[in-house]
Amino acid sequence: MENCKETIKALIYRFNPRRDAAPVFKHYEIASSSGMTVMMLLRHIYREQDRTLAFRDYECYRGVCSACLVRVDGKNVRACSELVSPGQTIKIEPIGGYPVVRDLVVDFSGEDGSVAT
Amino acid sequence: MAFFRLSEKIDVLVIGLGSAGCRAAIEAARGGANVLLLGKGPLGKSGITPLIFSGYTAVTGQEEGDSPEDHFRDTVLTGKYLSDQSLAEVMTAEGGQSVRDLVSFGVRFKMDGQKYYLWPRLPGMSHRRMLDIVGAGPGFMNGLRREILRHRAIRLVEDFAITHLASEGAICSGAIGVDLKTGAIGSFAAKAVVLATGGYEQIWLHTDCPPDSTGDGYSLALKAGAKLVDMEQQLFYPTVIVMPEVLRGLEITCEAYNRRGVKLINGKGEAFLLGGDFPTREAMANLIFGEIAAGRGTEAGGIRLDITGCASEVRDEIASMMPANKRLLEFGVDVRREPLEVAPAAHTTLGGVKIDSWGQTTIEGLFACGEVAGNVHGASRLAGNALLDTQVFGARAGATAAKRVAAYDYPKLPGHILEEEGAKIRAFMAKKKDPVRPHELKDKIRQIVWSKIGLRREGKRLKEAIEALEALRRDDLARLSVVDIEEYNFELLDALEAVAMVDVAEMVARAALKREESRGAHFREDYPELDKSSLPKHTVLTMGEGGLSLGSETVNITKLAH
Repeated sequence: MENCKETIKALIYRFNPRRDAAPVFKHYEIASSSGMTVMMLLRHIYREQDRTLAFRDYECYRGVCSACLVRVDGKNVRACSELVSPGQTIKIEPIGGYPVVRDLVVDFSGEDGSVAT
Repeated sequence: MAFFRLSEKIDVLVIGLGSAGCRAAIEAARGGANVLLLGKGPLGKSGITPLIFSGYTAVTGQEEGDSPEDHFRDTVLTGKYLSDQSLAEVMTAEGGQSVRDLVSFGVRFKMDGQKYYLWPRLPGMSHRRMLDIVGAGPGFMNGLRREILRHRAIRLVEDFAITHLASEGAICSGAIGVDLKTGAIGSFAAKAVVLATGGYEQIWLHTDCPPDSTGDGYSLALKAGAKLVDMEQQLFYPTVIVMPEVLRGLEITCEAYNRRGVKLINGKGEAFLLGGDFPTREAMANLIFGEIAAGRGTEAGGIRLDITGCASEVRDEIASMMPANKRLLEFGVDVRREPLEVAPAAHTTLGGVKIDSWGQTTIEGLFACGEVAGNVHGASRLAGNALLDTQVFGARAGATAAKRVAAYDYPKLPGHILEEEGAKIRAFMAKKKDPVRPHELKDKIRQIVWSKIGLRREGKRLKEAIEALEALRRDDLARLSVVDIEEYNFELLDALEAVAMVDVAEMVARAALKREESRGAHFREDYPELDKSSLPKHTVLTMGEGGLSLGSETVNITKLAH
């Protein structure tokens, strides 16, 4: 008999550089019988499980803007395009090469020549 | 909670860093001002510009027989005589210059030999005049970014959410908000403020605009006492994906599938619109909405677009003409073999803050440009005119803002505003009995707006919308709950946007009730005809002593009589 109550397991990088000594990976489980993108997964966690999660909830719907870049299982991917299936366990970290603001939110401003207030 | 006050004196504060904000900042810098270009997200990774379709409409002189006068005429006719003709004149006259400016910045247009490639004529265009931007949204933003980096006088502040505009007497003197990265409250005193905050599409259940298009600028302008016009005018794109969820928000180009053999099918399996002879986009969106509102939608609240009845070559052609096709295929959806589940979705905001031809609003010191400004397009919009608008009025607003530098001293902001703002932010974080999460409030707003305002408006339902929104204001706003975190508090941003959305939704409902006729994007079931008994009028909204004040004023007609 097919088990239709599957879960997606996500280990998500949680870190507040101003307050935490070190990053931790927090464990989340999402019950789902169908696949979803990493962006949908993060939204689901923020809405249903953990309101403290910091991530950039922005989509261009075309996969071209790079606002949603994260590292999944060590690889840089677009959260809006990266699919996760029930039964999978994935590790999500902020995109490398930028200062971490909190959790999955990085500071892109260095590349724009911008000035921090 | 930390407070800070930016100690440098700012000549021009530009709020919003999309196509309009960037252009305003560039022109203000060229005018000798020091500029703070500020946005609630990162440059090129927030706002609506990164999503734009690649069309840019302007008369460059290349197309035989075309002229700015023809472009003006097309613009006014498409806008159903609701566009301020002095603005339409200026916008269409300066298209050629705007293209030259963009090229000098580093934006590239598709070429056809030595000439610009021009798209075939789209509805409402008397001549071909739509150029194609290489790289679409990201390409456009990259060109603007390159120019911005050349100007040392432009400083960029990202991830900063403005919550209020400041004023010294009747004059706009700056703004206050939250530095999202640190949680600090900050204020900026400026000789001129330029609003370039984009549209309000996120108040609707379906939209092809990104999550941050929550219309914050309309709320800021209203609270600052500015006049807003035609807030009921929202353009919808007829077919945008609703399912599967991974593809929600993706626009499906109607011109591509307007072919014999194509069927639009409702949730009951009935074909209600056949391809080959589609009506205007407004009429299509209206018709599809009607099916869904009558209870004949799919389970997800959409309809099905089915091209499978066409011959194989036709299906291939249709697929090749859809910019969305690549993304559809990425997720295993092949439009040639299966129907798409779509619905009309909010696409461009036509109404907004009233401006003159230099981008000046009705509040001295406050300028507006781009989508947030209201009286440019009227009741509908020619394809490619939205971007043109951002460049022409962005430049004019920036230039005029810079002129204030020599004429005025730096304003002083009252000392208590930081503490007051801090208290408001902290109030979100106080413990609440029966708390409401910001996304829950946003969902409630969208349900009311879709079902009670919608695309087919009616007086009684609009009054119900206003009552329901007033109830949200009374009951839900005080219960809005935000977690107590200083650094990148996403829930705080969510909450600030939800608060703005209540304001915007109420403005839209009231303006829709005020306009007792059907004109362009605004359709009233109880007033289905255009009111020809008098000159075309704007609906006008301002914040009065007792709340929202509604009025109307005649549209500025210069050359083209109704």
